[in-house]
Formats: sequence, C-alpha cells, structure tokens
Amino acid sequence: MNLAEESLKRAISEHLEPLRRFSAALTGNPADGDDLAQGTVERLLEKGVPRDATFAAWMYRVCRNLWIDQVRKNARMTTPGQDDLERRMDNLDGERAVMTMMRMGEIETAMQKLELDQREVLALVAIEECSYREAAEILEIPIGTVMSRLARARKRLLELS
Amino acid sequence: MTDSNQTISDDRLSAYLDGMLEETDARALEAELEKDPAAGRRLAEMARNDRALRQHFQAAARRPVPDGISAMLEPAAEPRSGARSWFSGLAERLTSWSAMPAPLQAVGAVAVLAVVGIGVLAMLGPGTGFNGSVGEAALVRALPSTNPGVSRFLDAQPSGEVQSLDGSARAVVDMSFEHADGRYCRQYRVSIGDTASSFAAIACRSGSDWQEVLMQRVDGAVGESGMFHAASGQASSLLDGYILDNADGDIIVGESEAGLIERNWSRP
Repeated sequence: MNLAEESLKRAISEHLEPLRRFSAALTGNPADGDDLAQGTVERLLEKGVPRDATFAAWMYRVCRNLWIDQVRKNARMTTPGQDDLERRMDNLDGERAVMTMMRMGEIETAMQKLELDQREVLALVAIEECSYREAAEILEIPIGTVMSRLARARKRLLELS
Repeated sequence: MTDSNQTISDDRLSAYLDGMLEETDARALEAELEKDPAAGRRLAEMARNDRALRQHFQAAARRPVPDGISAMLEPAAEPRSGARSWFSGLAERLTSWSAMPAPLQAVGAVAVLAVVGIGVLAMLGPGTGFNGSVGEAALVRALPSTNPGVSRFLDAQPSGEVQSLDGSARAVVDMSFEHADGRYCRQYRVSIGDTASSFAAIACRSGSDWQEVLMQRVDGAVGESGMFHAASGQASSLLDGYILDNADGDIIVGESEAGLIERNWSRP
C-alpha cells in the first residue's frame, strides 16, 4: 500500500458516516445503502481522487454515479417514463390515505417513491446539507435545476405524508 | 395533490427553507405567509419532513460499519515484529517506486520517509548519475531517525550475513565504518522479491539510534551468499562518494565488528 492509498483510506474513513447516510438515502434503505457505500469505497480505492477535487464532493459524485449505474442495470428500478409516472401518481392517492405521517418505515417508502433525480438532490441538500451550488457541482446540473427538483421532491413528500 | 388555490409556490417555499431567497424576497414571502396559514403549514411540513429524513438516515449511517467496508479501510498491518514491519512496508513502496516516472521518485522518497521512518535524501533511478555535490550539513538536516525495526537490524546484524524475511525480502549489511566525526556508520542493502534492484543506504549511529544519511536505489538484488559487497559501480556512486569522503580509517570487519555489536556500538 502506498502513501496515497493510506491517506485515501483515512479520508474515506473520516467521511464514512456521510457516505453511508447518503447511500441509504439514495437507495431508500440502510441495507442497500451499505452495499452502495461499499461499492463506492471500492471504486474510490480503485480509481483514487483527482488532485484538484474536493474529497466529499467527489465521493458523493462517485456514489451517485454508481447508484445510477446500478439502477439502470436493474430493470425494475429504471426511471419511469411520463406515462408510468402519471399512473404512479394516481396510485399515490390511495397510498396517501393510509399514510398520515412520515414514520420511520414510511420515510424509506416515501424516499423510494421519489424520482431518482429528486431523490439525489433531496439527499444532498436536505440530508447532507450541501449548498445548492455544491449539489449542482456534484450532480453536474445548473443551480436552477437543483432548486426546481428540490421543490418537486419536497412537494412529493408532502403528498406522501 | 397540489392545492389549486395555492398562492405561494413550492419552489419559493423550498428555496426559503434552504435560505436561498434574497433578503427582500424572503421578507416578502414572510409577509405573504402571515396571510396564508395553509402555505405556512406546508412550509412547516416541509421542514418537518427534512428533519425526519436527516434523523432517519443519520441513524442508518450510525449502525455498526459492515465488515466488508471496514476490511477495505484497514490500515497497513501493524508491525508484528520490528524487522518484518519495515521490510513489508518497503516491499510495497519499492514496487510502486519502480513504476513511477523518474521525477516522481523524489516524492516517493519523501513518502517513505514519512511512513516508514527511513530517511531518504536521494532516490536515483538505476544508472542515473549523480552530479551534484551534497554537503554533510544538508544530508543530516534532511533526515529523521530510523524506525525501531531498522535500528534493531543495524544494532545486531554482522556484515555479510543475509537476513531473509518471509522468503521474499532480503537485507544485508555490507560494511561498517567509522565516520570522521566519530560516529559508527553502516552501509546496508535491502531487496524485495524478484525485483532486479534493491536500495542501499548508509546509516550512522547517533546516541542510541541509527540515522540514515543517504539512500539510493542500486542494480542487483541481495543474493543468497553473505559475501562482502562493497558499494561500487555507477549506480551506487553516491554512497561510494559518501564513504570515501567521510570514513575515517579502515572498514570495520570480523572481530572488531563483532565486538562493537557485543558492546552495542560503544567504544572499546
């Protein structure tokens, strides 16, 4: 193991809690989250971190990209098309009747019901407390898009709670 | 679903929640919220949901770290014995040096210095000539003490006897000599595995510790035989030069050296 690897391991260890928190939020549950976190650690150790990158931002980006890859590979979790989306939105009315507040298990269910792009922006801003600018850089989208996705995500959560 | 009578958009509520509205926009929104209790409730619910999310996933992240993750993040194995530890560490570092472009080897050398605790002044690739002149003061200032494993090896190993560790690393002390400043010094080499190169170093005893003054990569591995191997040839010219410039008197061999080892390098 060289010095770079040792300091990389140290950096990852120091950021392990945010990584696991973010991973759990993206996948919507702690067990899948830890699988994603482990995959992220593996990839970070394998590929390293660019010299000019902020470690945390890079870590979130690697994690998020890995998650998107996994979701794409998993057909049942692909991003629904517009029709599918509308059908699911209709179904939510029924679900809403039984969900009176976001209790623990329901938080995960609600998170999983969010669109992927809403989930990632909510995880970064509301959970990881990144600024809009940081989230925009990590996700490589404009700040305005961060704002609008975030608003849609929160609106969905209101509908679900 | 969305309240069609909603006058304050979720975009604005969301941005307000994150403190992203301009000051004047924020004050204007607050004024509107005074007159719109429904919007106020939405805002409160958004804030509550955020808090619930944070708390929930924070708790998830604080569960015990899975073995799979902690295994990947374990630091390099702690030393089981002093000698083994610095050899093992060096094995990996030497390998990575070989793969590095020449200009980075100096950086690698600094890394070794920091991690292994072995002082490195110069790491020159095989066949690289050394043309600069290095003063004694500069040498000593740049170097820290060796680690305990190195010190034990240099304390006790007679010249010419190869020490082998887990079948892959070999080390040998080539010679002992007395420095003009009165310190005892030893030149030694280490090679790892099948690599065709090893590194040679000179360490001098200061107080009860050995301190490297010079280190250089050299061609050829440390062989099985314990034959005397003077630092010689182009690749180790730096070490040769140091010995020629600084040694006082003959090389210390045989019984003289055995006596020094016996007395823990104190004067007769």
